Amino acid sequence: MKDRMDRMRTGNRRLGRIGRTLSGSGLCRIGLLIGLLAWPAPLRSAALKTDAESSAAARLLSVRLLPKEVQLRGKGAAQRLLVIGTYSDGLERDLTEASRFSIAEPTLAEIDVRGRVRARSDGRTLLTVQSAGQVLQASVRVRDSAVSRPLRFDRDITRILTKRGCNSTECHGSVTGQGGFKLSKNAAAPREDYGWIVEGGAFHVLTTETGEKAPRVNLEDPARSLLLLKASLAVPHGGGERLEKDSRDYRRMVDWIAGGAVYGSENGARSAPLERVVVTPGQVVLQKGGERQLLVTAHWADGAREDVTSQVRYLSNNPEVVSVGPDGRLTGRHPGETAIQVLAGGQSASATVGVIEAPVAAYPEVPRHNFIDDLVFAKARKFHLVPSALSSDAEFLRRLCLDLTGRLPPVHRVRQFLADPDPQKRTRLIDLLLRTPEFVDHWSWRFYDFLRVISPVYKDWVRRAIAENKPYDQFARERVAAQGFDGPSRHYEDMGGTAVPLPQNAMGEQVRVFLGRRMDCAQCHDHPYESWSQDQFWGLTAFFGRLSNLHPGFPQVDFVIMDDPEGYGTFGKGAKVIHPRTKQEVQPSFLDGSAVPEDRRDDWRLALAEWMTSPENPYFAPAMANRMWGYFFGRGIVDPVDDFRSNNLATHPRLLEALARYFVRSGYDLRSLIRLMVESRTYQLSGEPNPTNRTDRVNYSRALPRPLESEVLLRAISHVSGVTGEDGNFFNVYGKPDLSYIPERDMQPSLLQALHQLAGPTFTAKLSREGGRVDRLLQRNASDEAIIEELYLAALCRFPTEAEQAALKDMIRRRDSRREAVEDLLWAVVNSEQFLNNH
Amino acid sequence: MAFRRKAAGYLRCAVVALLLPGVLDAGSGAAGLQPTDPEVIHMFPLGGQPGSRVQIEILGRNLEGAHALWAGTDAIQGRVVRVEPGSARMKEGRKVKDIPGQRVVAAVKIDPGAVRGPHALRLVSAKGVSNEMIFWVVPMPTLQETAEEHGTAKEAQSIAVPSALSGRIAEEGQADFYRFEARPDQELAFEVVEGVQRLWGDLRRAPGFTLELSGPGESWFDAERRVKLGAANTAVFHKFISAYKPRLIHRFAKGGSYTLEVKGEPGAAYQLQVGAPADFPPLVRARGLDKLAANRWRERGFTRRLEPDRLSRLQARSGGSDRQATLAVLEKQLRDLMGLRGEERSSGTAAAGPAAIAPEQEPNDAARQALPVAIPSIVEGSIDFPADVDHFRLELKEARDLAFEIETPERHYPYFNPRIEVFDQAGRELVNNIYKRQASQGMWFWKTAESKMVFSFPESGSYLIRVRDVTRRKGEAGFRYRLGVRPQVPHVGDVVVAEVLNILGREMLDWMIELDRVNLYPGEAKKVNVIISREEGFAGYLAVSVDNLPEGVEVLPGADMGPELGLPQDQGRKEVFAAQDQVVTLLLAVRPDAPPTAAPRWLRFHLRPVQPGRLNRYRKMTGEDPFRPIWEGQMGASIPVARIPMMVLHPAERGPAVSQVLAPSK
Repeated sequence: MKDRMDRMRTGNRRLGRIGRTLSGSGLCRIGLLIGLLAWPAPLRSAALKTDAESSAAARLLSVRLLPKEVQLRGKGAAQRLLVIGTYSDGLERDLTEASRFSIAEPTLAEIDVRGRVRARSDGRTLLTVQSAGQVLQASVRVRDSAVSRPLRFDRDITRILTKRGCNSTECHGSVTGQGGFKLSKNAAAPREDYGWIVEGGAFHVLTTETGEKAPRVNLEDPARSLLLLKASLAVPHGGGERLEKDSRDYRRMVDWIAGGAVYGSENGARSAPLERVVVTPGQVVLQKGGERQLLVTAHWADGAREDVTSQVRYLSNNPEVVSVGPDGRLTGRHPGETAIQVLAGGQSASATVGVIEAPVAAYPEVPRHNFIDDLVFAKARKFHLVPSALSSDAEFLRRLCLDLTGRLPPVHRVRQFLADPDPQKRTRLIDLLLRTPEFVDHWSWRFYDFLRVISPVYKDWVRRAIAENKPYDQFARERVAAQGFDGPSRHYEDMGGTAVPLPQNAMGEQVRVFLGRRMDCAQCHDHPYESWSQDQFWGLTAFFGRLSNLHPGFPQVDFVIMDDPEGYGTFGKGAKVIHPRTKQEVQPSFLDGSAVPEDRRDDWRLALAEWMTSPENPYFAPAMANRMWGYFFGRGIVDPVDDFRSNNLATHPRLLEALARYFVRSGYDLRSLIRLMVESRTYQLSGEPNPTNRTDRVNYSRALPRPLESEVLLRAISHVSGVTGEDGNFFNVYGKPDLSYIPERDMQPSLLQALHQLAGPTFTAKLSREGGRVDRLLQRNASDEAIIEELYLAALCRFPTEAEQAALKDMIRRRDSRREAVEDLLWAVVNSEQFLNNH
Repeated sequence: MAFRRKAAGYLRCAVVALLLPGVLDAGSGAAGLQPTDPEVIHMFPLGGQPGSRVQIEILGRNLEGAHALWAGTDAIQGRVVRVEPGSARMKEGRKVKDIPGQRVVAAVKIDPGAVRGPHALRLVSAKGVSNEMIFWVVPMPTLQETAEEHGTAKEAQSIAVPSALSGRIAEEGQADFYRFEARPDQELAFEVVEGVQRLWGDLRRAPGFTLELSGPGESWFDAERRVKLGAANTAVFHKFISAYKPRLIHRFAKGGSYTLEVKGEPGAAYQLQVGAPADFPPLVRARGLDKLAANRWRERGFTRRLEPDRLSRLQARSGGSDRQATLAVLEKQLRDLMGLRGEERSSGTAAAGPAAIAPEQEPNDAARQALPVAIPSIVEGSIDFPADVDHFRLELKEARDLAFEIETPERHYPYFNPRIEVFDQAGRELVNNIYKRQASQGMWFWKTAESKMVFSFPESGSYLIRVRDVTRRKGEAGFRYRLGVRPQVPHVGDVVVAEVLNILGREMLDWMIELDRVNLYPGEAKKVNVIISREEGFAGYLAVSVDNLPEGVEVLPGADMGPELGLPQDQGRKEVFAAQDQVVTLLLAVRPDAPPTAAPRWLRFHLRPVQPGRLNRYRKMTGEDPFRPIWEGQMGASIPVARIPMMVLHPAERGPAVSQVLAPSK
């Protein structure tokens, strides 16, 4: 009931408060009625238990030990163990501290009560764990136990700098560094970092000049090294104390300097590079107040592994949901989901953590339609979110029509569909709508939006591509590599106005649109939050280094796009792409640093387009799959859809991978991808929440209401009112992206919109216009019941309930003017949340 | 001073570019002065079938006393039936105005043998000869739009196929809808043409129309839904800009009922032609509407013909450049005799005889497959597929001054833009046909692909010519070209007779207003500019003459401040691409006692190069070049350059001394 009241207060606030001067109280009642009946009541709330209560109540099903095999290499090498219990309520809990550990051969290794194994001498032995009445074993192998591992910069020192936050964006990892001392963020460029420390010099953003160089290490007297004096606050340091003088990391830094401050394997240190770090577990579900320990393992190229749990930096994307300690201990704070980033000196990893109120004791079986459901429901199950029921036919019809065609179905089609007993009618409707010209209209409009389509020729090209279902990779290639005068080439004119855009702007937009990445920050400096370097940015930019145009003369419009070997641009004499720091001409290079293939040396942009759209490109297919997902589910799996980055993680990475694979295998068939999505049960779930998924916003366990975009809303009002035009300043009020820039839709409601709904012509004159729907119904003397029914079917795609019919008929009957009553009813309907949202 | 002039030039350029629409609006709306020249604004209908008679309505101003229709051909004959007060609606800038004036009803008789396509018509009134109207002779039956409402697809007027329908747009935003039946697999062409070109600010233009073809939508939502199948747009803003095809050709996969929607400027009349593509005359819009101008020499432009006799035609415009070359040799001998040093003039030796036309032979995609070309020669080739490249080899036994010309007869800007590059044996590019205009600080203003370039090869050797499209995405059988390689011939290029010159100059804008008609009262004089292009170093004297003058009219040499031509923006390697322009000012003066003309007379403008003849004397003077030969000339052959209708008006019809002053518009 509270839910309903909340919704009524928020959803129909305007109805309850404002009304129209003629019939305020009547409208209020109508609003209340629609508000009450629009959103079905939630399921009965389940009784919630605390983590401890749940744990006590749940039955332990199994226990496992992590890692299953322990490798210790080098003097003093250690490994943390985790004992994980799986319970009948579906949760996993950390049993490490409640477990007993023993080693078969204590001369080889020792283990403490917290489950930490440390090397003593070389050999193999067995480790035994007793936990909750179960016995587990793991093999332990110790090698080079007498060999002190020489310290090296690229592995040990970068890790310390990362763990201590020295190379964070708040400190020396910022784009400008601090006090002339620059470190790459999370040691992304260790060679450069090494140079700044060992050779010295001051960093400048716009030049490679360093000024006089003074090393920040003192090989003669390591403790007098500026690096340590600053970090230990022995001299003033803006970043405060970062290394306590007696700490292990301080001692290691001193030892490294004393050992000659070597970079890598010069002193015989192991040379295999670090391949990756892995966080275990990668997905964690905690009950509110519950705790879990993370385990972080470094994997080296030679197969060796190393426990680095205590040597990395942890960051919670949302500490309100989950907090993380410096040793990787998680604590669930509030229900929700977030990611924990793990930074490990040049490498990073992440874990997804969900916090639930209480586990679902008897999780129901949920039917599936396709693989989307498998992946969405699997996570929902893990996070104890029970998906809502399948949507009603009416809910589905309205949602599908709005999503596929951006318009509401005619009343007779609604009646037809609702009356159709065919169990396959949803699939049939999907197929049918995918073939309608309205589908082409709607998706052309969507593409106009994100591709910034202004010129009519460009519009025609996009529209034809949608109508013909042109493979998306071909579409992207044609756009990126466009030359000449026809459709795709016009976007360079739209971007640049009277001149072709600058290469960096052209590149930035293509990457954002087709790869879902925002590299713009790397234009002036290495990306502050990402691993994109300035060199990578300019390497990609150079692909547009010949982008130029041919004019017919004056005025400079409608030009031909070409690539001029002499340089880019309309203006500028043979302009070349110049690196802003090195001041050197930049040659095109892909993100991995490789150059343009020989057979494409005359056609750089085509080379880039082919690379971007290659099935092997890890960004292209996921970016579009994610964008399309965002259209149908209200948010991207990565959200915003064009902002993939390491600290903006996918909520369902496996789903995104699977969708991308499907998209590639389908030949980049957009309609096939759309069909896949709307055929899924996930898409067809009801918007009605249950106690487990009421707060869910990211796991698609129910349909979330999505505000209608301004163009769609206007079309819907025109459809329901039966009147086109008379829209005044509708788009000024409801917004429409300015395609001169990369569009961002602002879907936030505004006071102006509320006023417009009260008195704007779209919501007033349009509804009562002669010849409109209301007028026609009254002209043909339709009964109150028929009028109510038609308005409901037109606006909400459903029949009114008996209660709604009765109450509304009563309202109309008691009004002096039947016309006014019906107009007010229509006004209330188009102001209801049910109408204003796609749900 | 030079700097100030440069800066002023830039400023004017920028201001004009930025404010042009506003300037034009203001010019059209704020004037309190009323022009007196007869001006036709609209004509309806716009044409008819050969052998038919058509009654037309002409709306315009200063048409009082209109008494005759004047056609440039015998195929069209007409007479004025009546003249009455009327008004013409037209859009100037953003404003729609009803211009008070006259309505003229005329009867037109089309000869059965009249050539299909546009024909020029002018109205003759007491105030002189009007601007040009275009009367379309079409092979298909003609009809007029219905008086019934047909402003929506549902109300569309049914028309037969083929047909040519005349209609007009009455109100701002009005659309006219027409419905027709198409058979399965039938291919039809659609075009909307207009009939009157008039001045809009600096631009001579016609009101544009948009045409949209739509068919059944097969919509689940709306049974009446139509879907767009194609569109055309004739709103020509600039002579080259053709963002849309003016003609729409569509093959109908399904038979059924289809709809055409025509939109345009209020007041404007149009003719919608529907028929088999073969029934349509060749496209006329390559240069806006000026195809009706008399055939004249076209030095540049990708659509001008390069024929085997190109060289001899150039020589006919050279004023005896061979002779000049001979004189150069004599001059050199004299200098040597006098012990003077001086620059040798480039030898413009032109080989006699026609250029051979050689078809391109594939494969020639690689430099090693380059086909040899002789001098002079014309090579025919095509860029058959995207990224196709054609190579040719040029063997020079000595240093030569050559000209490269290219024609693209079927496809041209913006679709086919050939790039011609010339490389030396070391693979260094010597010249290409992309003209990069430069301004100060080495900035480019814009680039164009040029249809002609000249280059002086400094030494003998083997040179590679590469022809391709500027893009690597375009290429098809229609990307045909003719590449001419010939010796340079100093000659007279384009000659334009204009009444107004834009301050920005011809090279940049080509916005001079060509002289369309001359109407003068006795005692009046009109300034006329003749802009002459000197090509390939032509340095001879030139005489401009005008004949077929009405009685009492004389042509006097004039002087005017003139525009600043050759602004700094027009730099770059201008010598490779551009001619040297020269403006001659003439005055057409009508004696006070000149009798009025009964009908327009064609003023015929000619140019006569003066050939150097006799060395009269020479002087040895001080200075860098002390040699001063004085050659007396001989008048060369006459070159026709333009013909323009003129009338001497009856003094009794004359209005106020300058113009009629109107009350300010409310």
